[in-house]
Amino acid sequence: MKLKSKHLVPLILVVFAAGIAGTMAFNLWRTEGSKIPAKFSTGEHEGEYNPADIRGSYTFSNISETFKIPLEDLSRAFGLDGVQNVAEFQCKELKVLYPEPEEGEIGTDSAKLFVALYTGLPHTPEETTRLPTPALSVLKDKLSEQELEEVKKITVSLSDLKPVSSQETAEQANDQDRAVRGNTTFGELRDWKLAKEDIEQVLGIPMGKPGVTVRDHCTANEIEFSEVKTALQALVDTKNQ
Amino acid sequence: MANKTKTDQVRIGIQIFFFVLIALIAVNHSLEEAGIGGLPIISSASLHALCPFGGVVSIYQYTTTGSFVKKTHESSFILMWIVFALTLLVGPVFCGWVCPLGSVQEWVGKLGKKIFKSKYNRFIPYRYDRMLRYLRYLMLGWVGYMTVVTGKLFFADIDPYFALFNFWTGEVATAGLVILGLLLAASLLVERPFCKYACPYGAVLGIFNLFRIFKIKRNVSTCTDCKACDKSCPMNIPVSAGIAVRDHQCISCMKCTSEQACPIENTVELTTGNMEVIK
Repeated sequence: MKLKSKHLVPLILVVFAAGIAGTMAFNLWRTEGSKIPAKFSTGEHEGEYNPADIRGSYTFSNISETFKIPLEDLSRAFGLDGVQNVAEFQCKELKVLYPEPEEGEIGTDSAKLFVALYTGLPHTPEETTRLPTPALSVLKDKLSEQELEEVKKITVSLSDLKPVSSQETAEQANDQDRAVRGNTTFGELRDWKLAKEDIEQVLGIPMGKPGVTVRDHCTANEIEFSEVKTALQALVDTKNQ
Repeated sequence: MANKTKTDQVRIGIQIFFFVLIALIAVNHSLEEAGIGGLPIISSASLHALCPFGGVVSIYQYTTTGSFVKKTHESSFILMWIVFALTLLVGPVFCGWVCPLGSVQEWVGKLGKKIFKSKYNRFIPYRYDRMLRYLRYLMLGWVGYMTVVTGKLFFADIDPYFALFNFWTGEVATAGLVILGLLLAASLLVERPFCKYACPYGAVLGIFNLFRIFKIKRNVSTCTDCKACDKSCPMNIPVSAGIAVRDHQCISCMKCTSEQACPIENTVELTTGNMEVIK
């Protein structure tokens, strides 16, 4: 059996199209992460979510839902009192929030470690991983005296740290500077010194709650986000000159 | 002759289609990231999610932990299987017909061909060139090992394909841009230099040339030994030296076949079975 170039064209297109369409039909085609960590496949904790698979892009809300840890506990453990939207706080932002601990680092692996200690699931942290001291008070009911003593050795006092403000954290983590995007919330706009009246004047309707993204609010109210975005960006630029 | 030119245009048409498709998806992804909203119908997935090589480097992590290497997703895995199926059937058509980076190198090479004429693609002596071709397996081993160790898409920072479709985003590492620049310059001298010497994905797909179902075969009884097939091969494979092309570098571009370079009908063909089938 012979094949010519004219046969290869439909063959290539059909195999790609059928493969993608077929997997879409079975809901297997995903181009974005599910924000759900892998589960232990063997051992005592088989079937449970593995804290080691928590990624920097996972929000505290993702962790809270997956590992059944109240957001308040996560917020308290990592000293996020000044953060506007703890639910949307991403693990990778910890490193930006606490850039220079006295020793080691507070980052995504700290979140993995905290989750492991809180839930009793195994995780071997990096040697440099540290937890902020408030984590101890959250964990005190979860760990034995001996375990708490061990954890104490890798905690860093928050008073020694100079946390940057919540909006700076978000900006640095995204490596962007006060740009209105699809995921910008009304809370962030307020943090960027925009008055409620100014925002509502641009929108032509009352603004949404602080945790709601401007785009979602626009979509829900049939407003063209791209137009609103430009006007809001102009306001942000003016206010932050 | 007109028919032969038309045959190559069929492949160029497909190459342009995939190049434009990937470029539109990359632009759409940037627009989406910027919150501007994207083009209708076109996907806004990240290029990492649409790279079948992402599936290959995720195999170890997926089989050991059930998760994907960062930035890769189910789509990478699915595309990997689709390309494997195609390659098992007709060889690395992904390289010769689909991969936009291969296409760009080929297009730049057309300019090189005009500048250097018959010297083009023949600068490196065959005995050295043959050995250098195995560098891509070293690259595959290194990228695979580093991905397993780091759990990250290690290749992304040096990937000229990612750099080509993201140079405007600020997400591309300097190393990636430098490699892309060098690659385009090298394409003026050598046809598909990245495919030949460095592409780890081409290395994987090249192995399929040993056992693919449809092979490029030469009918010895009608062959006049004019070497037109050898001269036409962008990967410098000596097609006339054997009965079937099993070289790990073949990209199934069909340039050597009787549809294009070979002047004798039914002499170099993409076929199953043995030589009697060709006669």
